[in-house]
Amino acid sequence: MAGGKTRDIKNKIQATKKTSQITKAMNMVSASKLRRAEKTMKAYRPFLKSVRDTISQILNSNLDASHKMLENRDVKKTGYLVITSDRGLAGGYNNNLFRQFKSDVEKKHQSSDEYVIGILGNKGYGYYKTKDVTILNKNVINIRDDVQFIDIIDLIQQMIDMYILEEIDEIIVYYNKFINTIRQDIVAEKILPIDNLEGDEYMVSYEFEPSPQQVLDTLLPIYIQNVIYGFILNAKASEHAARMTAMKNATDNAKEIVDKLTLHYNRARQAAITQEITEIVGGAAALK
Amino acid sequence: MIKINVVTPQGKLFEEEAKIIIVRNVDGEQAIMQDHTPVVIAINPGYVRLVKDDETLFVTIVGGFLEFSNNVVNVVAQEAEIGRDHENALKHLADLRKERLDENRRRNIDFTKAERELKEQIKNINASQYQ
Repeated sequence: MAGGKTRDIKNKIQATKKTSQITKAMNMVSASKLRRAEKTMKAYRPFLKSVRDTISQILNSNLDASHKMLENRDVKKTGYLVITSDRGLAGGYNNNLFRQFKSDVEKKHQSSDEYVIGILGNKGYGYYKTKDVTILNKNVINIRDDVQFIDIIDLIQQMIDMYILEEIDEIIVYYNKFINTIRQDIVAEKILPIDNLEGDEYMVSYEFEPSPQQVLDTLLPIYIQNVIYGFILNAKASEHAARMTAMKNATDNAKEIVDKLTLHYNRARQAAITQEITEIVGGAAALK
Repeated sequence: MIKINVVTPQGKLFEEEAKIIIVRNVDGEQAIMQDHTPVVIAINPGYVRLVKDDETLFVTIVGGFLEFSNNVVNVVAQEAEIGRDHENALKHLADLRKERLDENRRRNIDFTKAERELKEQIKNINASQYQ
């Protein structure tokens, strides 16, 4: 009797359907989160621009102080900041980043003493914890969907402090840049030293309180923090887009499997019926 | 009248007009009135007090700066809170920070569990064939 087999297939169909429901729900959740993340990202741009304009206006005025954060120096040690996600199930979102980062670093450095990394996001922390690299943050730094400044500020401040103390000589950020829903590129952007703040000469001549040096000490870290926050918002949009695509693929694959299994199920059922009929007919013929 | 804009990474906090603006930073208080010379003040931590008619409003700031020129004040702050007094605000901001970090930790544990389950399920049916 083929009852056992048909029941197995039926169970499998049901399990697959249930999973595809979950992946489908996740796809839709990601789609709506992506919309929101895109909106936040776009709303952030004018803010960053206004901060940037203000700072470049101040720098190009009568401010007569130099600052370490504005000067290039020989690179002996590099600080990397890798922005990963908290949650997995986003296709190659994190793995592609790890791979790219690894190949770039191997090209650039001879040994792991030449760089340190700061990691944002749960996944990256879990990945690099077991690797032969120096991690700056002792704990996981979460990059939640509603990411806030508070979460990231300590690590960024630590990296800036290290830069000022000349423990590291440049800071490079790795993240997934959002191009559109189906395309996210891994990019590496150098944020320290700052070298793109030149603007026109402004005629405003400012007073600086408490002192020009102290103003710069506050101003430049704020700028860096804001730039990084912008990268994170961008990475967040990429994450949702990647997850949306991955979950759509999973749903489609599940549907395919359900179709295939349904076919098998029907075939097995038909085989059972045919066998029964054959038995009855055979039995009847034997009685004659 | 002076125009004042306060922005934080979360967006614009507010936009207001005031008669006198009093800034408090590490050095002490400083007042800005109309037609003051352009000035840049670092605030970490401190507050900006707005005086308008009989009303006073405190904007408590952690990590930020103020730029004044042409009777427009631009305040850029990493964390800011508006209120009628200053002492509570600083404490409130610190509380918020602590709360947030605690919550993050809690969520991590819950989510890792749920995620592992779903991953297991997907693996069982080979549904995820994403390269």
